[in-house]
This record gives sequence, C-alpha cells and structure tokens, in this order.
Amino acid sequence: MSQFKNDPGLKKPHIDPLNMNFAPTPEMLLPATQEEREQLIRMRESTTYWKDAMRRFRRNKVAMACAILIVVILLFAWVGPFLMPYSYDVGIRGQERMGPSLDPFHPFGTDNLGRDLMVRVMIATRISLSIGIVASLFILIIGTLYGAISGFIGGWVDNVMMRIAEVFYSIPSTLIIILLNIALKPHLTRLLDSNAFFQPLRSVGPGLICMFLTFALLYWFRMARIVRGDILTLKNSEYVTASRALGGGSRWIIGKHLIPNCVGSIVITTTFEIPSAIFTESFLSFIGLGVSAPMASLGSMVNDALNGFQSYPYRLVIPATMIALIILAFNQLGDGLRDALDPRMRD
Amino acid sequence: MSGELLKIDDLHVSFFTPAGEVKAVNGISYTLEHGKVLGIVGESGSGKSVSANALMQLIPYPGRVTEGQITFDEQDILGMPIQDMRKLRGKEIGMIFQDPMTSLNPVFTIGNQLVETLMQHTDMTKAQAFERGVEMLKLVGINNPEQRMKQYPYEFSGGMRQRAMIAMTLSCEPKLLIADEPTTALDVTIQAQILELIKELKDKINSAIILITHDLGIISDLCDEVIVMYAGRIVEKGSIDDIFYRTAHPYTQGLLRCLPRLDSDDKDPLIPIEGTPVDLVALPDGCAFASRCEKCLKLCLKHQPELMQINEGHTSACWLHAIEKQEVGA
Amino acid sequence: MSKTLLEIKNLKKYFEVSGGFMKKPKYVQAVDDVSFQIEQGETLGIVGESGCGKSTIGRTMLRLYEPTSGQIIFDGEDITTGNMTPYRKRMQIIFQDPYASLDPRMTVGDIVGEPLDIHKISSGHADRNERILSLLNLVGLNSEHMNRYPHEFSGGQRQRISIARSMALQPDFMVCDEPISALDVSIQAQVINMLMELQQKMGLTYLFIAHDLSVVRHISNRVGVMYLGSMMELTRSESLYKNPLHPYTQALLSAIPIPDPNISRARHRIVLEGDVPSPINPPKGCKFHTRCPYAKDVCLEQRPAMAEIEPGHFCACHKVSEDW
Repeated sequence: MSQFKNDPGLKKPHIDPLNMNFAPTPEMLLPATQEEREQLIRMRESTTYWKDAMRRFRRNKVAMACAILIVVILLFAWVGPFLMPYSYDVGIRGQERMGPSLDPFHPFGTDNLGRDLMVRVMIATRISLSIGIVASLFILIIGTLYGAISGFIGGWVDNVMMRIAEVFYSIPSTLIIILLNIALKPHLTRLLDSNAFFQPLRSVGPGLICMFLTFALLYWFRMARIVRGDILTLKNSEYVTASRALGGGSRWIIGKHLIPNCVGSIVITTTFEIPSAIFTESFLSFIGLGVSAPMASLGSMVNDALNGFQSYPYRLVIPATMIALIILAFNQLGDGLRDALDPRMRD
Repeated sequence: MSGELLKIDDLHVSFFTPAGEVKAVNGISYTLEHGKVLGIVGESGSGKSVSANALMQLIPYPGRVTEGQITFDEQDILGMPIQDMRKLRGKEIGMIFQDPMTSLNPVFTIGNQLVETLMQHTDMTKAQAFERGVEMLKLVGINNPEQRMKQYPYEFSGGMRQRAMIAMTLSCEPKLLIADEPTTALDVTIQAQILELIKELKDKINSAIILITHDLGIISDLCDEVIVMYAGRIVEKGSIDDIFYRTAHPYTQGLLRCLPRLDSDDKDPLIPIEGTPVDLVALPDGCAFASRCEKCLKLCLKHQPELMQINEGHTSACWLHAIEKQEVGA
Repeated sequence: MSKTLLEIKNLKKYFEVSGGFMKKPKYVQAVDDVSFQIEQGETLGIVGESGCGKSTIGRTMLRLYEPTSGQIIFDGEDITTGNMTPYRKRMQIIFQDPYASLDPRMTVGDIVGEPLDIHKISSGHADRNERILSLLNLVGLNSEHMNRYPHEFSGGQRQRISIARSMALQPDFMVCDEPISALDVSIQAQVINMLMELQQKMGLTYLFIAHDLSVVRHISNRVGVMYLGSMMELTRSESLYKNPLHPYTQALLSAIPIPDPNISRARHRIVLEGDVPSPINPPKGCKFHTRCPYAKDVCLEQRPAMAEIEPGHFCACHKVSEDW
C-alpha cells in the first residue's frame, strides 16, 4: 500500500497519493461529468480596449497625478478669474509694485501699474493653454488627413507627399515663425478690420491668429509621418486583407479598421504636441512676437518681469514655474497615455 | 562520464503582470546526468522555456523564481552572484535559441564573436582562438570557414546562422547545452540538416543536452529521456521508449495520437484533445488538464495529482495510476 | 469526373523590389508559371518551404494580389481582370496567424458580422445577431463569446472565429493559408477536423496551403509540391507518399521527423545540401539543380516541363521523364 513512499528518486508528494490526507470516497472515483469539467474553464472578465487602457493608466501614479494637475491648472485658468475681484487689464491706484500679500489680497503681488499678478497669471495660462490646444487641433486635423491620404494611397503619391513634408520639416522653424509673424501681421490686422465677418476674431488679436496659422503650417509634419506609418502597417495587416477578401471597399476599410486602430497613436501624439506648442508660444512671446498688450501670455509675462528681475524675482519665477508645470504635466500625461494605449511600447 | 550534472528541485517561476500572477512553472523537479540528452516537450504556456531560462538566471522581467533550488555541477545556481553566473553562462552552460539572429550581434563578424567568446572564457591567445573558431565552423559543417569568419550574421542564411550559433556555443565545451526550439524557425529541409548535425555532434562532444521543443518527432529523433510538461508542471517523465510506447498520462496519449502521421494511411477524423489550454493566472485547484481530459474523475477536479512511479524511471502525474495501483494492492 | 471549379493557367506573380534610385528594378519571382485545376468538392494541398510562393498563389487566385500574367478561371468565368466584387462572396481565405487576422478593436460579433455588413445581407438587427450566433455555433463557440474581444481568446479559438467569418457568405471555394501552423499541437487536430466537417456539410472546395506534409496529406485529395515559385510534382496524396518521383519531394518526405523512436532510429534521412536560392535570381534550368543529388548538365540548362508520368501523376524532372 505504501509503495509510493518507498520509491527512490521520488519527491515526497504534498498529498501522499495513497495515504491521501483526504479520504477518497467511492463517489470521487466516478468519472466527472461534462458540466463539471466545463466549470473549470473560466473566462476572465471581459475588457474592452479602452477599459483596459484606463485600468493601465490609473495604475500609473505619475500620469494620474499629472492628469489631476492639468485639471487644476484648467480650473485655475478658466474659473479662477471669476473668483478674483480684479480685472487683468485694470490697475488699482495705490497698490502698485506690491509683493505677495494677503491683505490687500494679492497672493502673487502686483505690477508697476497696480494690476494683480495672480489674475494676470490666470489669464496668461488661459492664453497659453488655448494656443497649445488649438494649435494641436490644427496639427491633428492637417497631419492626420495628410498622413492618412499619403499612407493609404501609397506608391508614388506617398513618395511625393512625403518629400513635400520633408521640405517643410527641413525649414528652420523658429526663423520661419518669426518671418511669418512679421509678414502676416499687418495683412491680418487689415483683414480683421476690413470685414464685419471677422469681428469676433478681433478680440483674439492678430498676433494670436498669426501664431495658430504658423503652427498649423509648420508642425503638422510629425503627426503626418506617424499617421502615415501606422496606416502603412495597418493597410498590410492580415485583418485588412481579410476585409478585402470579404469584399470590403476602401471606405469600409478606412472607417472600420484603419481609423479605429490609429486613434491611440493620434491621441498620444496630440498630447505631446500641446506642450511643444506652448513652449514655442512662450518663447515667441518672450522675444516679443506673441500676444499684444494688455493681453498677457506666460511668455510675455516673463519678458515683462525681466526688467525688474533683481527687485521682483517672483514676477519672473511664478509664470516661469507655470510654464514648466504645464509642459511637464502634459509630457508625463503623454507618456502615461502611451503606456496605457500602446502596451507594446513597454518592455 | 556519468553522475548527476543538474538537479532541479521544486522550481516555481511566476510572472507578476498587471493582470495577476502568471504561474509559469509550478514546482518541477528533475535531474540530468552527464552526457545525456533530455527532451522537454510541451505546448506554448507549458513553462518549458521558462524553466530552462531559470537555469541561466535569464528570466525576463516581470518574472522571477519564487521557490525551489537548482544545483548545477554542485553549485547553487539561484543563489549565485551575477558575476559568477556570467562566467558560467557560455562556458559551462551554453544556449541555442529559436532565432539565432537575436543572439548574434549584427555589427560584429561571426569570427569576431567566436574569438571574443573564446577569449573571454578560456586563456587562449587571439591566434589560438581564431584557429579554434575555424575548427568549430568546420565541425558544424560550414564550408570555407576562414572566409566565413570574416562575414557578418546577415550574410548567413537562417540555417547557417543556427550552425554558427551552435559552433559558438560548443566552442567552450560546455557541460550542458540548452537548445530552445533550435529548428522551429527553419524550413523542413534545413531542420533536417540541423537535426543531423546535432545527432552527429552528440557523440563527438561530452555535453549533456536539454532539448526543448513542441515537436514529438524531433524528440523521438534525438533524446534519451523525455519530460512532458503541461501548465507549468511535469505530467510525465521517462525514457524515450516509456513515453512513446508505454505512454501513461492521458495528455501525452492525446498528444501522440492527435496529429496525422506521415506513414499512416487512414483518412478518419483525427482524435483531438478537446478544449483550450488553461489560464495560467487562474489555475484550477485540481489537475490542470482535468477540463480537457476524457478520463477525468470527480477527484481530479479538486485535487492535484503528484508524480507517481509507474516503472523504474517512469513517472506520471495522474490519479488514474493511484487508483489502478490501489485496486491491485487491495 | 466532377466539374472543374477553379483553374489557373501559366500564372505568374512577380513582386518588384526596388533596386535603388534610378536603378533597374529587380523582381521576386514568387510564382513562376504555375498551372493546375481544382475540382468541385476536392481539397488540393500545396506544400513547400518558405519562399516557394505557396501563399502568393492562394492570394493571387483571390486577386488579393494582381497577377503578373496568366489566367484565373473560376466556375467557367475568367476572373483574371475586372471587378472581383461578385466573386468575393464565393471565394474566401483563412490566414495563418489568428492573432493578426482579427481586428483587435472589434468584438467577435462584429468580426463575424463584418461580411454580412459589407454585403448588407441581414434584414435587421435581430436577424444579424441570429446569423452571427449560428455561425459561432457552427465553429463551436457560443453567444457568451459574442461581445468579447479577440485578445481574450486562445489561438485555436481565434482561428475558429476567423473560420466563422469566412463561412458567413457561404463560399464555394476557400483558400486555407497555413491555418494551423501557428497553433499548438493539441489544437491543430481540432481545427483540421472542423475544416473537414465543414467541407462535407457545405460542399466546400479547399486550396490547403501548409509546410507540414503530414497534415496536408491527411486533409487533401491531391497534393502539389512547390519549390522556388514552380510546381515540382502534383499527384494524389496517397501516391505522393508511396511513390514520390521528384528528388525534392523525396527529400522533403524524408526530412519530416516521425514521432516514433524505433522508426527514427532505423530511418535513413536524405539530407539536402545547402540552402534555397534567392527567388530574385533563381537558378537557370531546373530550379532545384543546385541542391539536387542527381543533377546533370541538361538540368543546368533546360527547365523541365510538367509531364504526366502516370495517370494523374505530374512531375517536372528530367530524370523522371528520362529525357537526358
């Protein structure tokens, strides 16, 4: 009976097969039914791609923190000004050049004209963020369309389109932005003034419109290249071939297979475009090419602060920190999204 | 040469993924003697490759050995510091992978890599190492070895690359050679070349070989002993004749009869193993094969069978054996 | 004699590989002058090593690749050029890699329903669901699986899903492009059995492409052996194993390991020397002559034509035809 115990070379089993520490009742020796066997197969809870991505994203603490930070900054920029008793463009007599103080309530101090700096930072953040987001939307639309067309048609069309894109890419962008800004500004101002149709745009100012245009014209290339690459791979994937074999036409394949499968990388690229647009905007405003006074952007605030830098360092530090926070938050968010949406990229 | 070269005792390896703990290897034990050829056969997810990677401390992130012991040539592998392990890799234990391109460095010539390996593990001079390299390439059947030494891996075809890899691995005369699906990426006629080469070398070198494959045909061609794995456990272990002619475990039986054989003529439907492989995240309490086993008992659903001896050197993990023996004994 | 469903005549498919800027383009001769017929209800197996053009043949026959030259005749109609849409319903394909052939963003229900949607076959939501469900049942899956995504399934189950999809249009002809090569051994038999069952139930005709001779032999009525884009031998599957004529077929048969130690020990293997030449620059004369143990001068110069050696047994070899 105990022959298993004495067999040499055998590890002592956790449950001794014969002296089982449970008594094998005769019933246990009956064949198991089909149902009993099937019960062993459990399928995991069903997850969709987006649910799964959300789960991965929530697990990423840094990215979650950055997402929350971005929400806070958005609230600060859009809700904040309504809570403050001041306006960004009207100075308060007798409260000029104040340091940060709580009474009177100027947490970030005031500038030479007595304008509250906190409100100005809020408005400047709003401007910078809108430039970033709107510019990325331009890039998203132009880049995706261009890349998708190029990748889907392929062949010599793709070749020509990509060469054109490379020409745009090889232009030194800062130089072109400066030149475009200078060249376009007077025309834009004239255009805005001439026609009632553009009335609503006038409050945005020609400087900002100019900046949107230059972004849209120059920075779509990266997006286009990524989308084209995706489309090229997807186009040759077996499920697209399968769809063709089933009789699916181009429109069907683009709508059902190609677009849904590119969304991930488009979202990621857009998230990375936002901080780079904000960065460029800040830089342009800093060298005086951005928004016009009394409007403020984070870059122009830094520029304004330069003059009194030694006496009023906080005027420079606060908007500069804001720029850094926004860029950092969006970059980390982009990283988090990439990990969540594109798990292949991870090790 | 005889005696124990490798001893694996109750090895557990898990991968800690976001979806949960993937139990890739769940307590396997075996020993390997000098100069023997051990085949490990199993399907994807059976833990056959992971258990071999553990021998080299090469389990990729996020996996790690959670329990068990590996003794190689009287040295404790798992407790060994990484510097000592590096010396062991290549010199004492050699490994051949499915895709040689991943283990050959594309920016160095084959000769360069051969000489490098030799000089790192032996005290040969460069000239000696070069000579030895040429000799090794000749041994694995590569023509014009002097010329080939100067070529880069991309200039070799798939079969030639695998030959070069074998030459490199054998150049330091390892005591143990692990071949992980060495011919899976190759075409049938090239596979035949490599199999013939391994067969030929088996007698010329003194290494023990662990051959990991999913192809029972290759096992029957080369091995002395066979381990059959399923869901991270050994389900059957024995000599090659035990496994092929005195098959004990229902899974092994299923594997052997589920594929059409080239030398059989009947066109009857095949006898497949029904069902799908188990989810390694949620292993059942009982036998992992229970849901697919035709002979499954109620007992198997809840209780995990351990390896039981069928004959000298032949063990199998199935409750049916316990019951058969009990009936005989009673 | 049953009727011929599909016939290809002197089919060629060359892929252009760019030789670089302003250089003369080179061509991969993936399929080089292949002709055969497939009868209604039969399974024709195609075997060969990687790069022999077996997959290209299947895809070119469905016009997923445009043929370079030659003719494809389906059910009496020449479909070499012109609109394929009417034929898409009748000719289908299943792929090797069940991971790549299912769109990861679609539910199983939508994947199986895709052909119904493309051809607007179902008459409403309920009807569509019912059809999808019966297709899933046909391949051994159930309603529980309908709203799940492909990544939740094992390889074998995915292959079932892709079979269900290709069965949705009730085709007459199906190309099975290595449908089991990526699957585990224990799952392969399930899929083979299912394909054979479906064939009987639906009267399907298969072109079964694989590199595994034993599987091809099991499922096929006739088997063609390809090498470097050319057909080497074509015969009934029994006679291919019992009486292989072409030296390449003989080597291929002897290269396959048999899971039986006694046979393995006793067997003498024909080991071919060297590697398969590049299809960009295939050898002159017989394409196999660089590796053929019997090659003579005539093999180096002249390409052997397919000849009927015995009734129904074709072979392209100078030695077999004894014309040297």
